Amino acid sequence: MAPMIEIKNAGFRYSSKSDVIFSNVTFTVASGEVFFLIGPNGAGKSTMLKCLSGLLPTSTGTVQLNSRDIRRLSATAVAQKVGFVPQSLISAFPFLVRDIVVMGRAARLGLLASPRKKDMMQAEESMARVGILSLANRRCNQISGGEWQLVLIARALTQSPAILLLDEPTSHLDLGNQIKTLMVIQQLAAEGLTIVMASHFPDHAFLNASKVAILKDGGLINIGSPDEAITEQSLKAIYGVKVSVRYIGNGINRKVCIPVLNN
Amino acid sequence: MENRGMGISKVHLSLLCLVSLAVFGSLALGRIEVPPVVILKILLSKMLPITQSWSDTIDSVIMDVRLPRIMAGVLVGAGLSISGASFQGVFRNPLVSPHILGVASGAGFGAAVAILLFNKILFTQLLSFVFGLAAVGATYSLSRVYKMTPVLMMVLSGIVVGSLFSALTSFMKYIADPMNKMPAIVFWLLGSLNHVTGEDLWIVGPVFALCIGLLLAVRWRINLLAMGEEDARALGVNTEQLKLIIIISATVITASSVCISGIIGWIGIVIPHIGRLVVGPDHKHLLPASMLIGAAYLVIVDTIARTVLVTEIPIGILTAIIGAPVFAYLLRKNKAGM
Repeated sequence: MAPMIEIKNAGFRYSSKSDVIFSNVTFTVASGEVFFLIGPNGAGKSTMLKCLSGLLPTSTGTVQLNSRDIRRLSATAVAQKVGFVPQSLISAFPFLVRDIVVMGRAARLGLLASPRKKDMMQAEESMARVGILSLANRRCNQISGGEWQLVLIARALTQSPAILLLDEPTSHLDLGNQIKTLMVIQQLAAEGLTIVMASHFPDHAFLNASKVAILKDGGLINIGSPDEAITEQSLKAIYGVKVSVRYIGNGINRKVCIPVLNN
Repeated sequence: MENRGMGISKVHLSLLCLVSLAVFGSLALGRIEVPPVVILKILLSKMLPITQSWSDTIDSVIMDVRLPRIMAGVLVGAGLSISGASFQGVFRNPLVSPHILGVASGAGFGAAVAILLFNKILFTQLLSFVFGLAAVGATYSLSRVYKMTPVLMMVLSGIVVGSLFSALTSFMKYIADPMNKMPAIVFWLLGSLNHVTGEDLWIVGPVFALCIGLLLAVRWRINLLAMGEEDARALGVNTEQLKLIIIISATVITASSVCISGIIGWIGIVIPHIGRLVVGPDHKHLLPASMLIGAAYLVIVDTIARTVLVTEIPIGILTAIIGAPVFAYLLRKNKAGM
């Protein structure tokens, strides 16, 4: 499959005086993949997603989007291809959910234009896709964390992107909302979207990842299929605790990660 | 959706009626009360062949005294309110006023210098405009780090620049002749629509129109900036360009307001809040609504300022006396100030 995003020898630091966040990272994300970025707190997953979306420029190396250097593309051009779902967002004003979702049309509208009926219909379609159409007329400060995450995904979908970058979309959610969000992501992947997501849950990679990259101490230490990348050894290396990886049959038919206390 | 759109345009229409009513009422009221029919005839006689059945004095009171002043009220009220609403969106803070970047302090200093040195209203207006813009320019360049201008840096720089110019203005007041120069400076700093002439309006009118037009043109995108700069960039917005358009337009409007009417506070903070109560936080609807409410409000307050007492009350004092309690009420009622 064609590479959608290619990151080559990339490194990042905020300024020449500050610490290196990561360096010498190379990988490609192919079209249609569900790519998991896993690593401990502070490993630089969010920073890397921001580099992949062009929000931060890499200090060394390159990021290519459809074989074009992302630094040569305008914010508008990137936003037409890449939808970015931030970890969390605080709105200073109590906008209606529909008004937030329709913001995704910004990259498709001229500087002086504002959304018309056709744009609002597209926003409604995205809300329906992630199952939040009923929230359309609610104020964004009156919805739960799980609903807010889905609102942000719907907004990114309204950009009509080919790639969706998600920064820990399940981190602040309860178990039910975690799985709902993962199911939405899986369905979007089935519809042909390329997905890159940072996650704190290696377990979720067994649910719907096609490829997993592990970021630790400023470098990529492992990359491959979930089976290859997530092993008892690699989990020990990432988190510094003992985690057992077991295959469970009986209708579940997948591997699970089980933390073990007495190591 | 359809219903909501209809509802909003009806609200805007009623606000437009409110502005017209305020203008008409203000034309009628004053030391000489003029019946509405006569006002209508006077206004129409400038365009249609109507034979004059009123005295020249009345004609002059309406056309030369009240109309320019009321039009200035409309422009300044609309301008300060739309600038306030825009700044609040860009700075993601409903407590921000159009003076946040130091326009008022810079303009106040310019005016004080002009009053001290020249004693000509034209120079006062010119210098206040120039120094108002210079203050914001200083704020903007002070806040520039790594080719970006983060919002927090701009607010802090605005405080620094504003304090500096306030201190300089205090110094001007201190060295000014206490018999005539100092009262003139103080009166100017308190704001008044008293000095505005028809000529002033021909000069600043088009500037207001252009900048208000620009803000209205990009008003939906203020929503995007209000979500945060990084988020707006992820959505495909050229944030530095958009911010520059908004800040320049709002600043020029504010500086132009200050140059014809002195410093009229509180409008730019309070009116956008009232606008949000009426049409909600979406800047697409909020900017036109704030503009109309602000125009009506300033015309009404100015009418009070010039009719209630024998001598005129500086309008800046009135807007603060009315604005502060109204704002306090809104804060308590809506908790977080939304």
